[in-house]
Amino acid sequence: MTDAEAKLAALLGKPDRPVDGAFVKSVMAEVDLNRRMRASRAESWRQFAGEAAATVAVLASAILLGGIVGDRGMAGLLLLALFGSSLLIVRPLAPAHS
Amino acid sequence: MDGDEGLARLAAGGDTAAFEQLVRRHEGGVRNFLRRVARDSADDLAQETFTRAWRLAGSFRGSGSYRAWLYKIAWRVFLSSRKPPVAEETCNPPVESHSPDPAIGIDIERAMSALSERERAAAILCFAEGCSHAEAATALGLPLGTLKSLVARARARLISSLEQQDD
Repeated sequence: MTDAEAKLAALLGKPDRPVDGAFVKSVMAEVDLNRRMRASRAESWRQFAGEAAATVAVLASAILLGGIVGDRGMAGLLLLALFGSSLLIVRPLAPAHS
Repeated sequence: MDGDEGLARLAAGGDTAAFEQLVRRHEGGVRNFLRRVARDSADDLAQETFTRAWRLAGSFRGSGSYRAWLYKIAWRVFLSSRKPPVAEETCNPPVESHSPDPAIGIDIERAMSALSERERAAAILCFAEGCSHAEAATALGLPLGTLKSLVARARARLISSLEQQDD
């Protein structure tokens, strides 16, 4: 490094100071928030996948049973399946109890 | 103590303590870099840089240095945040100088503001942060030859300014 470059480094370099704890803390708070959000999103997706699979299973059962019990019975079973599906959809929207 | 690359691997696996170590190591350099290129809101940009580095931790391949990868994020955060260049040079407060003589600090600021954004960024990375040309080229997303030209031009202009001030 030439003298001129050394002078530039001295003039432009970062201040000789200890680590800024407040800055690190604020970054880590944001990182923690980000981590929690990701975990919560992953949990929501898992729950959604489980409930969607359950809904499909209920509907498939209704259709199969409908084939056995005839048209009137099938209408009743479909209503029952829709009611069950709506419960699965509404339950996650209800406010959580702490 | 682990090197940056080891800590980066741990951070990619979700280890926040390892990432905190990386923030402690690099906050001074990243903030200094952003203060020199962005000036106002540099700390907000630095915070965004580290948050993005956490989110993208899994994409660090370890083929280059972690420092170059981090400066690359900082440079992109700066580019995506900047305002139209018209207002850029008008009302920026002087950056804190580390020179014992405040007048020299102001002069280096004047000399720096005469450089283009890329020249300024290249000068900070190579002269102040001790990055190699290859690291600076990675950080700024430039071919090595272009980066070397930028550094040479910035160096000549800054030295010329300093010599004028010495006379």
